[in-house]
Amino acid sequence: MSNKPLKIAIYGKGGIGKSTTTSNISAALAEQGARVIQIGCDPKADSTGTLRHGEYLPTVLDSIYDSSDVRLEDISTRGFGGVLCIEAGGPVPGVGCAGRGISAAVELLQELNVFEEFAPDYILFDVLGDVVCGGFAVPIREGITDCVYVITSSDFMAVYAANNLFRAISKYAPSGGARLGGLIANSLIAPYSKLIVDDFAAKTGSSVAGYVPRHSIVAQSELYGKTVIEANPRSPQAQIYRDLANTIAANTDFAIPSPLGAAALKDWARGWGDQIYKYENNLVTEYEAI
Amino acid sequence: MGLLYGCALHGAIDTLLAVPDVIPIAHSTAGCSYYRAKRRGAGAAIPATNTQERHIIFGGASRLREELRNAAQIVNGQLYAVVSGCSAEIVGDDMDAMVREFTGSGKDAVYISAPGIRGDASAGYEIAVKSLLGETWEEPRRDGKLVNVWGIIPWTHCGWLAELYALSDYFAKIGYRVNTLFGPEASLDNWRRVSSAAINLALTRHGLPAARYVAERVGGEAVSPGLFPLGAQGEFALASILGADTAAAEASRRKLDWQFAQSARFYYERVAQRTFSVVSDAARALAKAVFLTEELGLAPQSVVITDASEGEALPELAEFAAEHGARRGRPVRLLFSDTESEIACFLAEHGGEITVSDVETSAPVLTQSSFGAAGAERLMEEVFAQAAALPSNLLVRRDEN
Ligand SMILES: Nc1ncnc2c1ncn2[C@@H]1O[C@H](COP(=O)(O)OP(=O)(O)OP(=O)(O)O)[C@@H](O)[C@H]1O
Ligand SMILES: [Mg+2]
Repeated sequence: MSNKPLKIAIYGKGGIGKSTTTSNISAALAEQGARVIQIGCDPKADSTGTLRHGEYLPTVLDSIYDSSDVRLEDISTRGFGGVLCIEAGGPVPGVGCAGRGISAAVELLQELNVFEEFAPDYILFDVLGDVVCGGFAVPIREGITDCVYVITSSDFMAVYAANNLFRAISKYAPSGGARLGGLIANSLIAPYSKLIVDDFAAKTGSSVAGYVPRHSIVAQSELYGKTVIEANPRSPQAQIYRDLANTIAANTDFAIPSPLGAAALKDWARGWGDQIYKYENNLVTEYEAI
Repeated sequence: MGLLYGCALHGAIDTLLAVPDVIPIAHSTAGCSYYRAKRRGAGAAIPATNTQERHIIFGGASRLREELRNAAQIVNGQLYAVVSGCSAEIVGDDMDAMVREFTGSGKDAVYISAPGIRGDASAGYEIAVKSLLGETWEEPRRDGKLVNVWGIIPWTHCGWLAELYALSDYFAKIGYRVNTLFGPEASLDNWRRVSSAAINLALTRHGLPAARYVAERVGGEAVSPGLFPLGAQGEFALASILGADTAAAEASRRKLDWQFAQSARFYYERVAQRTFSVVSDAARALAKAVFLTEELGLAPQSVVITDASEGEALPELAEFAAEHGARRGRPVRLLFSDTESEIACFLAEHGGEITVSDVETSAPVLTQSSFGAAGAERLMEEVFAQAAALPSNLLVRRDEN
């Protein structure tokens, strides 16, 4: 491993599986002996739960609130495979400014020299769904991360959110912000789901780093407070996460995506609506639907 | 309005501070409240929440709760006014809830949303005035002789208090009473009488929203003299708006004529036909320029407006500049700025032989009213003092450039 860590940001619509997928990627990398930091950038502070069996971990912002003298030990814990788990945290829902919280937390971590002292191979930022304000874009701005992976399913609202994230990426990338590593297709069920995500990737000049099917083993592992890698290491789902982790680790091909305009996105969705209708009514075969 | 007067927050705080019964509490970062104290020299220190990073991230409501409690213990007032700066508004602190909670403890309080992003000091003045009206509004008991004066924003003009007193005196002379809403004699009782006043006078354009607001609610009319009432002419204008007796204005006219006649020799020797520049806010600058041109026979060279931006429509000023520019065959230059260095540069190039400025310098100014005959006398005195230092008209052939 080189001594310069690969810094990865994971974005995607709320509830799409960012934390689950990120934690499994971290676990898969750690399993191979890599030094990994996972930072949850979400006021919910639930990103690293399955890496550390759901144990209590004070958030970075809690410590900012309580005292001015913060040490790394107070705001981090070692999880599965030695992954350094950190949660940015934030205000209770409905008050304060979570976006400012994210930037303050990232700033503090930089001040604490976490990224140099821990000497990680990988740093993963699991960032809250929609980039609602500038604060949530901090992890993809100048120098904080190298690349972004956007998680989406084949549902239109997830693709819609991914397209919005592409807009944020294409805004910051030219001035030194993170570039797109690719899409991660998650929770795929329907046979045509993969085609939809592939087609969206093709239309926006991006690529798909991996396909993760929807599987009950994910929920089951989560109930034990563990990642799939830890709870069911020999399952096919665990292998899928390992493959995904390896793809991400090896990928150096980062791009600036071209998000679709509002009208183009609508037309694109409508086109797929027609295809799925035909497909569900047995009018065409799966592959003709492209 | 620009930096000289701060933003909406400062306009609101200034407005509230001019009502002794009211205690403004700034819910803002330290700089926002410090700014006001600083530009006043000694100034008034006001309670402030001194918002920090953690109040932004986690919300600043509980900090405000604490400050309200502290303020109530330290300073006595009839009404505590929480004025919010940008940070609290952007974060969306629930200031209403804090104020309600505080009111529950038996004290009167109001939340006034005046973040700088809402505009300049005049926007803050309007916001604060309307909030105070909301707190004090009472059923009108028509008083045909009572006048509310709007548009003199406390502290944004160094002569503001002197002007309010001068106006009160003049209205008393013509049989009316000014409802004292700002300054040491102001009270919330007077604010409760706002609805009863038959006349809402907007003395400058900054007072129009307030005057109209009140007039609409009580079914009256907002009146405005148009030109700021400087000189005897201004006194006539106010009397005619109200249909009041003009005897006082006539007396002022005789006095000014007398004063002028007494200075005639000096005037012809040193003053006549000099070029001049005016530095002031839009209302007073235009009134002074008109007075100096039409009554004193001077030639306008340039006007510096300190409370407006270039884009703001000030048709009367534009008309004045165009008319006199055409008459003299050279433009009357206008500058919209409140930056000292910029004004100095401009005047170095376009300044007249005489420059009348009422921008407050380092020392506090107490008496600088521009209203009425006294305002005209002061202006003449200022012109005479500067002219005294210029070469005599009779001895030197002046270079007609
Ligand atoms: N491939 C999958 N198969 C089955 N369940 C999944 C899969 N991926 C995610 N889930 C489940 O979906 C739920 C939401 O996932 P997760 O919390 O990771 O989403 P998220 O994007 O981080 O959400 P948020 O935006 O709220 O942070 C979890 O209960 C998780 O177990
Ligand atoms: Mg999550």
